[in-house]
Amino acid sequence: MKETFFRSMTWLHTWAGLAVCWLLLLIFFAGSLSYFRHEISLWSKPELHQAVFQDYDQRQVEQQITKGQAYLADKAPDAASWTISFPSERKPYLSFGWADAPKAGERRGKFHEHVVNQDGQQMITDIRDSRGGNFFYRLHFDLHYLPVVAARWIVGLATMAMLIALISGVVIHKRLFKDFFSFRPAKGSRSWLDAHNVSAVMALPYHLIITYTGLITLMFMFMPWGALQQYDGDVRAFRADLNPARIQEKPGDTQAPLFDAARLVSQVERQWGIAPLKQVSITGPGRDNSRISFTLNSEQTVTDRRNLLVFDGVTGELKSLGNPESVTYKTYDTLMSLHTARFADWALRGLFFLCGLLGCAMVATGTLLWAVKIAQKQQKAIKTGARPSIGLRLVDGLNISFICGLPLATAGFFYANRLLPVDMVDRAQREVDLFFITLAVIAIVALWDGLRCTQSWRRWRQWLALSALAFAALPLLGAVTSGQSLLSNMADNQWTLVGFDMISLLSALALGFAARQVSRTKLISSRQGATSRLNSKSATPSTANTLTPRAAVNKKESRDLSLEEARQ
Amino acid sequence: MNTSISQRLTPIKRDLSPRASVIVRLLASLFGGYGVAALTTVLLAQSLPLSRLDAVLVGTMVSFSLFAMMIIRLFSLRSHLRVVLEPVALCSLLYGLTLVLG
Repeated sequence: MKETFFRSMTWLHTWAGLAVCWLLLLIFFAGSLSYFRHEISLWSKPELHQAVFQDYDQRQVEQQITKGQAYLADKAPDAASWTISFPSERKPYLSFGWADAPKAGERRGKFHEHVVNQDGQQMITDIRDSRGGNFFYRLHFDLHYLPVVAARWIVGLATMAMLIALISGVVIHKRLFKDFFSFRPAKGSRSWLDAHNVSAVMALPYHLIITYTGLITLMFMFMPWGALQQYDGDVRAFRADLNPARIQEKPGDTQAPLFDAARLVSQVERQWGIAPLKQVSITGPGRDNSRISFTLNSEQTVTDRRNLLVFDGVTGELKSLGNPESVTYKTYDTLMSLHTARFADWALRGLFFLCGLLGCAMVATGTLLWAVKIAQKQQKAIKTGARPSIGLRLVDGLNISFICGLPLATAGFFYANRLLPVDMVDRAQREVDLFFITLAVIAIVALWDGLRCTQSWRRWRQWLALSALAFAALPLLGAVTSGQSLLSNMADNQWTLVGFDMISLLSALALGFAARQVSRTKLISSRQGATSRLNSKSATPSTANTLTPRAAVNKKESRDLSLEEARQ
Repeated sequence: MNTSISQRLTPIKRDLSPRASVIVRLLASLFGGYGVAALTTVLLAQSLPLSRLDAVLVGTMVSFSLFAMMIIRLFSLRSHLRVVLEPVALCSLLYGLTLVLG
């Protein structure tokens, strides 16, 4: 559309990026946290922090199934499904859960979970109502307060824009390898460009894969035409072919006695050998069409092949061996698991998490770069008393709302989890509301600043400092409200909970550092003249690579600043 | 593909305002680009020598890369006539093929 391909791609990169960057930041942020959704869920249920943790024990499986089936038959005879969930590395407790029959207009009924005490006798039934890590997981692709289908299309379009921005970004990045090693700090927009490049290039394979596989995870919603045409519009038949084990039927009306699931364990072992089980789920218990499925705990394998055995719930006859095994299906399944990292242990998960934060950094530095460049263009006019353009003020406001808002809102969510009354009506939703209220407060303040043209880095410092404080106090809050402190968790080898506190403290450090840097450097405050002065110096090639003394001092600081701040 | 000789020799004509140009390209991308991707999915799903499910999976998995390539192309072409005509021509061709092969 421009004179050259290069310039067309530059234009496309800028506008495809700017159009969706704040939504992408939210998606990247929620997605990064989702790598630890079970861990976050565990933290958000302090009732479980004592006396429930246990390891998987092969010898007890049959007994646990019998106990679970009896317990659920007593507690929830009319449930749509039952789930007996065995202890695993990420969910280290035995629990019996059930889902109510969905109410009109709901796809799934409410899920209840009771947890078995270590002694195997007592049940913990009074667990606070919280979405925990599932909130971030759902937020990642369902957003919130929106119909699910609409939200997924919005997320899908944003993902497509992200893919376009990545491709065009690679095209316009002339010196991909060289720029990898260059960071020119305290040089206004140049420094932001460098930070944008570094965060993008360092994790480029991750960004490309996560974007494309993101589309793959929901591909039959975005691109159903091949399936619809081949299956003559019969979605159910297609689903049955794709995922034979997961097809769920409505519980029938005819009653029939349920088979004793524990008696199937020997059959399961014939198929899988002695392998750890993740859960046993029983759909339509007590009906003539009930099914009993065993799920293998396949945490370390990349594909989900054959991780499910389905039995008839009345006769105990083996119904399905799991998913299809063609090469194509395995490819599809591998792409999905690359997105969800379901095969990864905690270290690899941590690496994915860091790459996700680099994605946040890439998006945030990109939009900051845009704002700084536009501010430079308008600098003369602003100096003579003109107001910054509406576009610039809007972008500035959205930047502070999302970049400072997301960490603070997350802290708000965790505080709500511990401080709201346990018996509150609709408690889980109130926690989520608090997340969005925090975002809204920051946005309203940003709007107020924008309308009065008093947007400044001081406001950034205030919010960042507040988030730092909030995260620093989180382990304290945890200790007071759960009775388990960081040290006692260490002593008990509860590394999930220890990890949560550690990440909070690290986040607090990073946010505090960012807050300090914002108030110290004039790295990004082009409106105060510092940037243009430094920029004019860097305009000549001879000085571009020689750091001024001031810049040399700032070198390390500002690199950390731009990455740290943005990635939060 | 866009820097072919014939294109380079075409004089640059500002036949549309920048805003109109963006709108035309955006619409062509969203509908034309998606159309090309969707029709390719259908074509692959029905003509690949694989089982029904596998053919659908392959066709659907590659569709997004086609969509992306179409968007890149439609935003790099100079002539707005081509921006409109190329997706239309491609869609017609693909649709014709699905009928012939289907």
